[in-house]
Amino acid sequence: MTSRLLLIILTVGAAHAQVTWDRLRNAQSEPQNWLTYSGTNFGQRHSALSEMTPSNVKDLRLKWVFQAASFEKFEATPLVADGILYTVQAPNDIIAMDAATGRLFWTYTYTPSKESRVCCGRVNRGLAILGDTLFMGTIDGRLLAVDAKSGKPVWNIPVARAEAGYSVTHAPLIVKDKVLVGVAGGEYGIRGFIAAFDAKTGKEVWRFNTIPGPGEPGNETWVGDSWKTGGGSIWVTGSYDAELNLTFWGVGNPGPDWNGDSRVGDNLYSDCALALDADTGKLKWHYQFTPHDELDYDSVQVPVLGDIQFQGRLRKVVMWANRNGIYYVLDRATGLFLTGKPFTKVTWMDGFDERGRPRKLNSAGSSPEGTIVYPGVQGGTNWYSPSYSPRTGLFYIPVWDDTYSRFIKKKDTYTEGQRYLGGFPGSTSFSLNRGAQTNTRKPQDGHGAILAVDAATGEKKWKLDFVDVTDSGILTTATDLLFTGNREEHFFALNARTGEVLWKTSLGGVLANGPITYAVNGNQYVAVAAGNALYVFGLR
Amino acid sequence: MTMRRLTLIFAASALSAWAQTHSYSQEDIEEGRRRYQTNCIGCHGVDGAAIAGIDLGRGKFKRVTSDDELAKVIVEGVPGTGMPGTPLFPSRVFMLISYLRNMSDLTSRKSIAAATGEPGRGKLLFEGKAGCAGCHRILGQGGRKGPDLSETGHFLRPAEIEMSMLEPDAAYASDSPPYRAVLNGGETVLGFLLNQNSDSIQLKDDRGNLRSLLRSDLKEAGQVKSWMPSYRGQLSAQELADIIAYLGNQKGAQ
Repeated sequence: MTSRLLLIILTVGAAHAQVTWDRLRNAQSEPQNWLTYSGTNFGQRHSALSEMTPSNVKDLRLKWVFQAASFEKFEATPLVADGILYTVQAPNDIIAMDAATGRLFWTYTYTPSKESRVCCGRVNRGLAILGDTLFMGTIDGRLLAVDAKSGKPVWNIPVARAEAGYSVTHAPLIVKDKVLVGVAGGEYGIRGFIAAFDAKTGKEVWRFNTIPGPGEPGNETWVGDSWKTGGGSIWVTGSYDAELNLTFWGVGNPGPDWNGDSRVGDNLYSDCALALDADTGKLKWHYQFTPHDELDYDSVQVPVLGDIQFQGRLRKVVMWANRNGIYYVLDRATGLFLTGKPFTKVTWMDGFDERGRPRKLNSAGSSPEGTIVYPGVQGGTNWYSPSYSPRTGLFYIPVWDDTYSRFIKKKDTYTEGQRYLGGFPGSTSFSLNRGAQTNTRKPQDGHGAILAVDAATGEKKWKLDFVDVTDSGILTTATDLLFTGNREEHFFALNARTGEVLWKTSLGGVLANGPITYAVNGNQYVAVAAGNALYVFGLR
Repeated sequence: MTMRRLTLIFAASALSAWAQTHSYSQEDIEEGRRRYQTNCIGCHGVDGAAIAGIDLGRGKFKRVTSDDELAKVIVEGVPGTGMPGTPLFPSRVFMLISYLRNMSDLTSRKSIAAATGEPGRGKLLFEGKAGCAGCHRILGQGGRKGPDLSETGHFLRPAEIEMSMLEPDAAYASDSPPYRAVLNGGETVLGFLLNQNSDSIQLKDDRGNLRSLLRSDLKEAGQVKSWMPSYRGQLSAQELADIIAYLGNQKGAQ
């Protein structure tokens, strides 16, 4: 039986079945679907589909386009379940389409409260699905359950108060019968948390405070009441290991962003990797990438899980290219620091102690007069999904290379619902939220790149440089293809082993989301949003 | 002393205290200026005083004193008024504020031009003795070697026009940096950089042609200093003021 025929049978066999937890847990076994934000719970954004290959990818052609009725950034990663593609039209409309043709089935329109306040765009990064129900966080701090067949609401619950600066922008993560979400709002002096809600009822089952209160471990890393406005937002989807029953999340910056004077201490669990028991929310371990951060180095990246050869033995690890410019490998069961290596110019630290704590440089904090630090406020990378290919053993990073900011500190006082920043990053060379605008930047301002590093060591293997930066995630496939894009409005297929550009097209809009791939009736598609539209390519 | 006067003095001193604790880089102010031109100038005018009761260049606001309050008004607007919210990223908001806080600095910079100029005489100078029209175009008339100045008065205040004439590298007149590219065949293209990516660059060359050049066809390429001569010492104080007055009147096709 050919693999294509098998795929057709699998596709037909699964048609219109419910998306059970078993299916989500084993999502890697049905690569024709894209059932979670990162494709599987391991967060690798790697697909087993193999119809598109390095030799035929040059024949990709546009199959269909969905034009969003929205001028917000299109950051959502779609889901594909049994031939139906679901995505979010920013800020919070859900769209269901025929994944083969783009024909619309239904639109669920949600109008967020006027109390919504988001720092950096009225965006949403995607959905989760379980059974016949879709789940979406909203910019006014709510979690919605919507029927996947009818597009009608099932439940709608408050997660946190929009008027205090809380929002939910990331795609929820399903673990068993629970929907896991965290709150954004790190620029508003929120106190962050991750919570699990019963998928049937929306009832909260557990909550983990990313900023611990009095009596909770870690509260001693805050001075006085500073924990109350300590930030620690969550705005990118976590991952899950069923064997360990642990869910992994990255935590955002401490508040206020650029002035740590009022929050002396390490400020746990800001800028941390967290491993939580998925049933109880209890902390199993944490690792802090940037203690006492004054540079806005959110650790809001997808924790990428893999079982890799590390120093001669197979280890369960979490791989992490951090906004602070360093690539990390941690032991997934214990949180043990295994390695850390800069992947771009880094001037805020000069190495690690024997336990993996970074040696921060006192000269590289924000200051009233401004301090130039690499990487800049946008980071060496940011929330853009990386990819790990178990085939190549390489970890792929969307990089802002050799960029800097002049970090300026100022006094700030907290007022509920207002920005609480403690300064600002000056002299950053790039527009942080530029749309389809022109680029006249100088070479010394840095540039974007796609970088492949050895997943075990962080050693650089190849790099594709751009003139402009990139906000695009990365997808790899079982045929060693790598799909990504950039602010130059290009969408690429690269050879994942060499970085060679195999195919390139211009989509006329900035790519600010991660590509996905799926199949319908045995035909493989690759989908990516650029500007305000979702583009879908196929081979025939 | 009236309460209003007291408030103004208090506001000014608070801002001054803030300014003393911060030094803005020229890049911050420049980026802020671009944001101002894109988002604010239409209503607030080039000098920030187009709306009664508000003088942005002198720190005179209706509702706010602190930078944070100002940031909130910029981002969220003022409900019930004509002030819309502008969803800028925080760093851009503060760069915009850095420009607002420095508008008066630029205005108070020591000018060498006469106090008042006469636009009619400025037009004659522009097109004649000063030789500006050989390189600059206004409403379809003039050269193309420099930026088109048809909307100068809409975007630049007199102090900025003067700086552009005396220190051409200050480049207030154009957001497009002067650029030089040398093709593999030997041709040198001078112009203004309009856009670029990894494959190509887009220029307006010094003859006014829009050129899109493939990087693979280029031997070298990069930004260069402005080729405009400084008018410092070339014109009298009155002549300078006349040209500034003429350019200040250029607000596009009416």
